[in-house]
Amino acid sequence: MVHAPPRRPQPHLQHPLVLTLTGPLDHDALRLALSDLTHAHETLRTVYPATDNEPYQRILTADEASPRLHTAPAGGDLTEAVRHCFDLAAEPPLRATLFSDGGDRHTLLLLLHHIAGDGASTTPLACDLAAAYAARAAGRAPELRRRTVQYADHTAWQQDLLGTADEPTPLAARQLEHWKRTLAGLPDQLELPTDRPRPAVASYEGDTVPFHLDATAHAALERLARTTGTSVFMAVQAALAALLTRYGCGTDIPLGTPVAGRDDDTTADLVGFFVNTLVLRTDVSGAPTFRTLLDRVRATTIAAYEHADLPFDRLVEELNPPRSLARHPLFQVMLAWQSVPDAEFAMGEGLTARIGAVPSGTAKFDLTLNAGEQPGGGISGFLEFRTDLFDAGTATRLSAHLTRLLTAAAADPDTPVGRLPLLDDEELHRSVVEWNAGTTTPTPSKQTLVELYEDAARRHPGRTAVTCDGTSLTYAALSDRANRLARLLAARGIGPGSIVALALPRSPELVVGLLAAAKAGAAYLPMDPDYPADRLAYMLQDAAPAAVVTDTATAARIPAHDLPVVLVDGTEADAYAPTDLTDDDRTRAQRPGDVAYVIYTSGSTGRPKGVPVTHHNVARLFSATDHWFGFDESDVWTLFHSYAFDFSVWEMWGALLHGGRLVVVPHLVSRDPAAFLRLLEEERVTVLNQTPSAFYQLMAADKDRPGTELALRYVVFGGEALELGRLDDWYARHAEDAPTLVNMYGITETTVHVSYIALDRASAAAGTSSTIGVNIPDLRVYVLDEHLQPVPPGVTGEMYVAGEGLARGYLGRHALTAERFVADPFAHLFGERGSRMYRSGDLARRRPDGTLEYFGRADHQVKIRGFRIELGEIEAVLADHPDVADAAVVVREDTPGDKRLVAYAVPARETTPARLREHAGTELPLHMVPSAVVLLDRLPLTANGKLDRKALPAPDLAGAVTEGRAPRGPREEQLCAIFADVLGLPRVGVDDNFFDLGGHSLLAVRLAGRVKAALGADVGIGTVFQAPTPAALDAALDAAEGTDALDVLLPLRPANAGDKAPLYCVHPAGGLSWCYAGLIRHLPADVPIYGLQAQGVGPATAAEPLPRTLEELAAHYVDRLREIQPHGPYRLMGWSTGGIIAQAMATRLQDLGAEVELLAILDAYPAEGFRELPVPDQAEALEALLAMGGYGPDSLEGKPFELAHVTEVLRREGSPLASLDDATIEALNRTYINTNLLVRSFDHRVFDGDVLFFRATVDTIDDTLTPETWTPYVTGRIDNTNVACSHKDMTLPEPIAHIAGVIADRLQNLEN
Amino acid sequence: MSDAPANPFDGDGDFLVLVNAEGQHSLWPGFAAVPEGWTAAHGPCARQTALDWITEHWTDLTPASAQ
Repeated sequence: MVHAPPRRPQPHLQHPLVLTLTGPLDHDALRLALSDLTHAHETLRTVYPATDNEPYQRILTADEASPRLHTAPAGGDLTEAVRHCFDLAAEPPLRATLFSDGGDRHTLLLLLHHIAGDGASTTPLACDLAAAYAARAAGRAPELRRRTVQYADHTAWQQDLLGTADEPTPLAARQLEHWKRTLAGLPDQLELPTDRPRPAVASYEGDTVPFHLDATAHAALERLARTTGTSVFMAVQAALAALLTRYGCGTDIPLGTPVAGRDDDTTADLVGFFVNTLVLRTDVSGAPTFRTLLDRVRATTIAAYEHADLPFDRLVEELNPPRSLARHPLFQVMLAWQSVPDAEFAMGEGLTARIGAVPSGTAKFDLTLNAGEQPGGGISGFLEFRTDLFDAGTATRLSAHLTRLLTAAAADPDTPVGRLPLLDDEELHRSVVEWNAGTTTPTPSKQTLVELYEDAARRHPGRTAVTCDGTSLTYAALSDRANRLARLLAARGIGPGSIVALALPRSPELVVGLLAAAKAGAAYLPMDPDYPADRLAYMLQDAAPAAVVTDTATAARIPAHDLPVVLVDGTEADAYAPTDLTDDDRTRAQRPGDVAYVIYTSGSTGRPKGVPVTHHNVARLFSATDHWFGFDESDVWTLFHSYAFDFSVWEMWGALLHGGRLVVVPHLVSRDPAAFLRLLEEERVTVLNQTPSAFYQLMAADKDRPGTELALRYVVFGGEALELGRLDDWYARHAEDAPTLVNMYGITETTVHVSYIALDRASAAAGTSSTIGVNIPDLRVYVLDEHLQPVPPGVTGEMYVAGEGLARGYLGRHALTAERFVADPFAHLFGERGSRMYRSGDLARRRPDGTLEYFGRADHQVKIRGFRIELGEIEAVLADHPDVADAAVVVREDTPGDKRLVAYAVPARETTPARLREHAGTELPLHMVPSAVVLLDRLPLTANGKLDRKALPAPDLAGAVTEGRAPRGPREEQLCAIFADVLGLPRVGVDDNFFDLGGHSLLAVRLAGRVKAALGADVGIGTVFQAPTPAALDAALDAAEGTDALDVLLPLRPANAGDKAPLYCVHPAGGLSWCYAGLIRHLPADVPIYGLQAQGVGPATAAEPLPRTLEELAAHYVDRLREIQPHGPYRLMGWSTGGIIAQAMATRLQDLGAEVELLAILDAYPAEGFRELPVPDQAEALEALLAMGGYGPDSLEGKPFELAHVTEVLRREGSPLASLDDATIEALNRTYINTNLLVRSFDHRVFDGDVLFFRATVDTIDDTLTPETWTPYVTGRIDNTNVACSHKDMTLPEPIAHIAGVIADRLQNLEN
Repeated sequence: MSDAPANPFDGDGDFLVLVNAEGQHSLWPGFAAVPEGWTAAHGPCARQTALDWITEHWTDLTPASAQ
């Protein structure tokens, strides 16, 4: 086994051994001892130079390799020394550095590259060093034990045991079979809760934190292991898998573990890399108890150890999982279990050495638990982590949580692993109580919205309350109108406890109506007339309001009902007094606990449900957030959103409770970002509330019209997830605090908003996920797992919201209410009893500082092939492109089971989907690159201003296929066909990008496989990504193989090791054999296919004279094919003139004593038939060119045989021949005429064998031309197959498939 | 498509129906301790049984203190 030498520094592949030496040190003796060490261990003096990129081992003599003892002052930079990068081509893999000031304490670092040693090499290395030093210090040569075997013997032995990848031994094949079965469907990546997004290339920077389990727990584990027939290692493994499951990694947990690979005494004291890595796959699904999990672990671990010989690298090659520089293949978490070696030993007179660990500053895996049992009891070790992924705090928590979980599991193994404790009391208190701590502001006494409004109206009677399209109402006027209408409602018996449907357009009357309902004491039910009639009818029926408040125009638009109608534009209310109502005027006293509105929300399933929200719920929303905003009468708000969306509650009452001005935004303006921007400027709006989708459009409008003078103080986001990264563009043009951008996560059921975070440029730049900040002080947010336990920081859980904002429930849906508004198990920690919490169905996690991050709906989590995907991150990258004004990304499943990421982009200027995909490809990991980009004029929004996912069109992939130029050669043509096949499209153009047409990484694997099967060309997935079009892939294959599509020998499917004998296909009169490309798909993949083409066409033979006889021509072709295949039996075929040449070649080969086992002739007849034909001319040559493409003279549609017309036909038909340049066509014409002349003067000789003949039966020109015309020239049988096509069509897809089938059968018979 | 852990209120297993002093009802998973201020009014039983029981016995969404 020769390891390939590393291409870049790999300090994570080194094994540092640090010896602390105490006592007087003899430097010379140490130097000599190091030489002795190298002498004794071949691996320490092996270098790995390379010739032709192939590394080989060179074992140096002990003198050549004698290691230098590097020296450094005591206290020198050990970490730096540990990170030394070996040049293995020239440098032996052991490096010694002594840190010493000459006193009695020294540090000796022995840095061993993994190529030469593993952890278990430490013991022989230390022993031999001690022995050698002791001897050298005493002036003797040491007597190091002679190793009867060396590492090289071991590698040879291993090769005997396992064979090679191409020729595995039965043992290797069996083990591989085990691993294939065991690891089938393994997730590509374990989704650990990292502190940072995974970089595209791992830095391998690492650090460690300690891990410890006390002796009591260790003893309990030992007892458990004993009684369950397992081991402490297995218990730790089970606990680690359980911990990862609890940390959100799913229930299919692969762990890596090293096995020593030294199974006998002969290898035990060798220095060398014996270690192998096993993948232990643990199934944590189905809520197992720890004992059950331990059972599973025992079974898989024992099976793994029984199949431990197959080297991990070979396993990776065979399983071929998608590779990435971002992670280790097959597993990302390692469990290394070591027995701790005897730590201190003597190095001769007066000098002792102690083996110590040194942090290498590197990490090969995301996480490595490196631990072992201590002689005195307890388990100790460390958790190594990649610092590009994790903070030390997170690693410390992981380590502590593992300890806690293990301790509890050992004490009570029959607990389900999901319920074993992770957090300690302090952590629990922090996540439930401290992170939900409110401000010190006392909760004000409960009030109704009416009281608060009337208070504001009394203070600001003359200020404008509502503006709409040029008209406005002062507070006094608004109150007057609302009071009259409220009194009318009260007179109709409508009051507290009633519901009033409100159906009004965006107008001042809408505000009047709404306020009137509140003043009467009734709850309003918004019936936005722009909503679908079905939905309105449903709400009327479901909420059963007492009356409908509407205007004359709108009344006609709402669905039929038999409810009393109150018109706001009628005169009826004029009869009532304009003064504020008192409780005496109402049907009963109004209370803060009365319902203020009922807003319908649609769940992901089922019917929309009405949420009754009380006056108190809304009133406290403003008092509890006042310390953040300080809204007052100078604020101007927009009523941008439909009043059926609860964001409007915040907008409307935000203005009216503070004496501010509410600008009612006309519907058309709300849908036109540029017009809305003008409105913001003209109306001097200070508080803007937007869904992120709407704001992105506004941002684009703002970018188009820079310099808009805005008066905004706040922009408050709500309603959907905000992608922080997309705000860069805004901050580039606006100050951070003018306006302040605020993100608020909210739920209708807990009254508009739940959380708050003020954003700034830095947080926008840093954030990739949606930070939603902290809870509103009188609400509590719990992030819980499926057992209602708080999850650790960084781990995703479901959000539950408790506190003053909780609505009553769902109107008329008591069971559903009891499902969603559930008992709060933490209420007692806040001095409450019997209160409820709302389970949001939204996913979130806490940062270590308690800040909440939102991850979308629990039921909509986007996960493709194990990857958790943040759609917003992809959207932000696309939106970042200057061509893009707005973008959205969704997961589509237009074909069941085929989930694809599709991006929708609104162009800011002329652009193409390909360009945007390419941009995404440069910024994002592959699994996040959308498989299609669709350009839209604008993104569809729902009535509430949220992205309307259902209205996004499916990408038209077939329509995205381009016409483009014709394929340049047969392989390019084949590649187009393979692309189309893999993508499930009717056709694909040469310049069409695989990924633009719906290709994704999984399909790329399939594509590579198909290309290999069809063309025999090894295409890595990487090549597909770099060369994603048929043209580019063709060029990449050319570059790899150096083929020229015009050379005499054309590898249609080159031979690979282990293939059968190739089939040689001789060109027809036209001179090229591209026409045989159709055989590729229909002949078995292990039959290589070569074309033979006319000399004098391609650059390689252009300068050579044309052959003078057909014998000479055939001899030349035979010479060429014997370069590929020096010995027979040979397989030949030829179409048309090619059939004549093939027969000539066959006799030539037999002259040379070679066997010809197949001669297939496709509708060709002996040469003498040519003699009667007219002497060929240019036109006939061009006809032959057309014929090679499968076109007859009629394809010219009466135009003369001229080059321009011929190429026009070829181009029109998409033939690869159309791409030939004029010089080549001229050369082809020359060779055509020459070949024709050679055929005329050729006399066939007799071929000794059978012929497989194919006769074209359509449009036969001369019925005397039968297969039997060959009888004089063939000794054996002539087996004819009729092919129902004309002569010129024989290589078109259908006929060639027929022909290939017959040939394949013949080959099969030959092989039997 | 979701790999999100099952919510304890949506799973199989036993459920209780809890009622508080306001007459509000809550579905409650059998494995979890009953929070302070709530009493088990029905169950343990299957989820649908609990929901049916709630539909039958909880008739007014308005909390007792607001009636």
